[in-house]
Amino acid sequence: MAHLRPYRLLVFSCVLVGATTLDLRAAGAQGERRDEYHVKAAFLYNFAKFIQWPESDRSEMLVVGVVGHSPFNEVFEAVVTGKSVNGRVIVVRQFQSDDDPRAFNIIFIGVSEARRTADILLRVGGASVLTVGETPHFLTEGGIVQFYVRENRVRFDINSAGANQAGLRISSQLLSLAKQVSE
Amino acid sequence: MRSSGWLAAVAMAVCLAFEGRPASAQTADLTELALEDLLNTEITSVSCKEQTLSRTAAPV
Repeated sequence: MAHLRPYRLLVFSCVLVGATTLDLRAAGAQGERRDEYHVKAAFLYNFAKFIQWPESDRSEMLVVGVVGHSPFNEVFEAVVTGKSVNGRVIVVRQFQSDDDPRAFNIIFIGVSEARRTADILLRVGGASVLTVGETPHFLTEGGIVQFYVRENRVRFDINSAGANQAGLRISSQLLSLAKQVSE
Repeated sequence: MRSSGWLAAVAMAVCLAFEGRPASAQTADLTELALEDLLNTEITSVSCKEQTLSRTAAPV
């Protein structure tokens, strides 16, 4: 079998084209495996849609700060670039250690930045910032939304008392999809 | 011999199909999904993640 005979080549090409087509179709369907941070980025975008910031915050931009240099930064920027929610353009910025966390609408603190979590949450101090994290005690430390992974799927819990204190109104739809809501 | 040739062809086709998928196709449609669908989306295992992430670092 040193050489492929013409009919074999034809069959091979058909299989190749068929597999590619199926794959492209699957890309748009549910059930396909996605990268964890792509999914989290899409969740973050959805959170922005289902949360209302106080009336006093009328900026045309929705500023998202990403803490640390995780690959999430690039993924998230790719996911939300050029998108807007409720008439506000989403802007992604790298959170610098001397930044005022209250200047952001959303702050995402990746698991690699666990050491800085408590400090940043303290500095947010109940301002209207949606803090989203991944560390196990993120909500008890005062964070508002915590991601975790169960059965290969991304889940989230919500600290609704914290959201109220921060003046963030979370839609009932989002609350109903959270696995646990701490009052 | 014949069946192993077939097997190789199918395996190669499947591999190529997965390899050829651009990262942008992954990012483009996820925000269009409803929250319920996102909750049902299976994520890649850690071993696959490194590769996926390095691929997404390219400009889209």
